[in-house]
Amino acid sequence: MWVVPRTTPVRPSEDELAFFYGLFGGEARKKKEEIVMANVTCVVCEGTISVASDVMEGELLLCPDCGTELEVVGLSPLRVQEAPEVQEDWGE
Amino acid sequence: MALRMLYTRLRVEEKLLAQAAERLGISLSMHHLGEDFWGGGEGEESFAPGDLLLLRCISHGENELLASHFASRGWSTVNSREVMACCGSKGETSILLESAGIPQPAFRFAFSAEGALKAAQDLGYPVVFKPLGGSWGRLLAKADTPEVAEAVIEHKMQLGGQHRSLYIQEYVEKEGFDVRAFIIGGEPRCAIRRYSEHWITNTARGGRAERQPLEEELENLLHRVYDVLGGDFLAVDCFATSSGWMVNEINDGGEFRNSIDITGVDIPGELLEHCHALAEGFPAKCRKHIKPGEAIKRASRKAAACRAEEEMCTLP
Repeated sequence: MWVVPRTTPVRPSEDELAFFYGLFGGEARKKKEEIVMANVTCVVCEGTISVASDVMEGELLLCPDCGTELEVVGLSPLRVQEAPEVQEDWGE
Repeated sequence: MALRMLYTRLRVEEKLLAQAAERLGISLSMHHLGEDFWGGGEGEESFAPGDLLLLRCISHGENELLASHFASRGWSTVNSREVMACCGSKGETSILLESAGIPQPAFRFAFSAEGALKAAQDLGYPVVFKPLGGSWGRLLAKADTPEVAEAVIEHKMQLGGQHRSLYIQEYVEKEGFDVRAFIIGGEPRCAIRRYSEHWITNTARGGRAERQPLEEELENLLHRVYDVLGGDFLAVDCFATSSGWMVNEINDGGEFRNSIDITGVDIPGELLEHCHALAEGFPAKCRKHIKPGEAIKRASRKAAACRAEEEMCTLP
């Protein structure tokens, strides 16, 4: 019987990961250990939402429990409110 | 002199601008308006005279008021308040284009239901009713008959406010697409076609995008727009018709997320480089020599060369 050896995946080093993420920039650029999650409570259903620690004011979040669109309005402490509906003069 | 971006909602565009700044090594400070107040308040405490303010609020009214406020204090904004004021009103835009003889769909405006009906009749059906302000294809109404126009007008009158100033455009057959072109620092840089089964082709409403080459006639049209309006960053909506290109609308706070991959032009990067050149105070003559997309270091060297020559720019 032929046994095909399974290849053991080699986990990249943190430096390799950082280089890889750096190619794509944006939110993925940080080393894994730098991405710390914070929790915030949904103002509609009181569900818990995990948020990356580098979240910025003005970002939108989606509550995984009730689906409400929330806007980050403060960072220390982390605060969210229901994102407003599109206003008359919004856009380009 | 610092380059600052003021924003409210962190859209994809604002994230792309922040990433571009990091990638290009341009110092950009992000300022969320949040609970600040303005006019001597805490909002601008950390700002210094000479800072360049890139206004990217999602609300056009907020951008425009901030631009006026900062202009009154001698600070520069991208875009300027004059450009914002013009782009923020479809009526103002049309009047400016008309004064410059730039082709556009025929338009009328009226302040009464009777006047609007006569205007629609004058243009010939179908016509398009548009709010003077607004974006993303909101509240557009195509009226094929006087009966539909009457209903639209009645609803607009009930909405009150600016909706009682009725702006009416001829309906342009555009074979399923319109064009969105970007002008950065006075240079037409790229364009996309926006296809849709719907007569409103805005990508914010699900229109499909394809690359549109900057052919000579289109590029000339865009240069004419820039010459009459100015502006650091413009997103110009155009129609290709059997009689040639025409300008439909001009946006001062254009969204570009759907145009980068298709055109291959780093729109946020080029906008940031242009802002950087402004923030560094490169003389206007030198800015003409900094082509969009040019590396910052090279642009800086050119600027230094121009400064060395004082007012006399020797670059070709």
